[in-house]
Amino acid sequence: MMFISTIIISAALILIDLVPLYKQQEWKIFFIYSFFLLFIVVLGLLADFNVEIPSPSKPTKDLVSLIFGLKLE
Amino acid sequence: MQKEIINQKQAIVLMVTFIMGSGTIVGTGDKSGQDIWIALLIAMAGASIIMAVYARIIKLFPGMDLFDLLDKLFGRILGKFIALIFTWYLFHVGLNLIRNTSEFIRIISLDATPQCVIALFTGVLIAYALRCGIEVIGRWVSIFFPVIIVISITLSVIAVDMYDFDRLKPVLYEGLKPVLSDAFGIFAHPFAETVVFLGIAGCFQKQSNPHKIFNIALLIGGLYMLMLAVRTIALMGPVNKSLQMFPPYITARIIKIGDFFQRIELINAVIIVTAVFTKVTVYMFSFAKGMSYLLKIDDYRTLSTPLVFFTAAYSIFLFDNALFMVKWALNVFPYYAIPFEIIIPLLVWIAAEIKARNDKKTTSQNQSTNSSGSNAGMQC
Repeated sequence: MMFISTIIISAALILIDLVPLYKQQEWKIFFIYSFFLLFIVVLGLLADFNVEIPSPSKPTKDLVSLIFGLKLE
Repeated sequence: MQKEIINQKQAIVLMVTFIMGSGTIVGTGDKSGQDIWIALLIAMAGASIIMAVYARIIKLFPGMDLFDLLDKLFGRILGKFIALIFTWYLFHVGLNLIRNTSEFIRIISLDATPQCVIALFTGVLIAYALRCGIEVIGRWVSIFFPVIIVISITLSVIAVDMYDFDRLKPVLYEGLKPVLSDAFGIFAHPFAETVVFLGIAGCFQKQSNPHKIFNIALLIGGLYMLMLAVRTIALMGPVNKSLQMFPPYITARIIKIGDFFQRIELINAVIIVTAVFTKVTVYMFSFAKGMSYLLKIDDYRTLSTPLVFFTAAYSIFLFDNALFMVKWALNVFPYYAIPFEIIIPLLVWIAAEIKARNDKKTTSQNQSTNSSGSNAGMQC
């Protein structure tokens, strides 16, 4: 479901933003935009295959526990 | 690119709605129980100090946002490094807020809808708001703010008969420690979160008074939070409150007049979603500005769209479940936010004071040199 959602959104963004950027030959923003779009689609694909993606929540929780000596559940 | 400006009133309203933000979803601290109102007052007192620092930074360099300022104060390399750290914070909290919103909507009404759909559609709204720009967001909030306030006060007033103020007693039964712990939590989330406004300070009118903006926003936002906290405790009691995942929302479910006016929690849900939407939009706006500064792109608007969708898509992976999300927001975030909400602003403030004094000295020296030069010319 996530993959399909990201594909639909990416297709819309390509039509709305990427095509005009390509025509205006704004290459820098075109490549940065494309990179993020690709990342979004990859995230959608990984989510549908139930691949675990590292989240910053647990490392930050561990870091805070370590630095401040807290016992967090 | 044309510079966007929001006036003082819009800035105040934006900041108040920002402060209301996610506190209306997960509520305020859960350790102090019935003494939460004392914790809120202590947090407001503490926040007034750090907010004075934020306001002073904006006052010293009006019309400039934090990212422009970092370059000017710390040079290119160190400035970029601090901007990178701050942008990470904006991204991480933005992730958190989108997850809060999608989790809240999923739990209260759309339980059969995949979370990614809710998150991505929230992303569509945020991306659209960012493309319209901060001026439109400012005007939109100016329209919705009175609605939020009127509904909230009405809900609180019609529930007066149901309040049991004995639930606010005994005062300080568990001592001052849990109160101070919650006060620290409320200080960091949501009051000191207004540090984000340093990232969009360039959009404030030059003649507006940042101290006034921060102080009024703190007062109105703080009073709103106080009203919400007292209402929740007086209606549910501290034990029931601590059992709920979204206490302010559940409170509205209890409120009723007779048998004909009840189950009005959806009205409250509209307020919650509006306030959180405003908050996450401000975060994403600042994040887009930070990224466009780091990547040296003039137009943040075009870049903001993929950034918002990337954040929305990644928010799905942020927490394993809603319980961990609430625990993280209440227990981890206040400590995690210290470098971003206190240390970086203090460093920027000290550097800004030194820079402003040096600039002033140089200007007065130049003026005296010019005037002595012109006097000598006249004597000749």
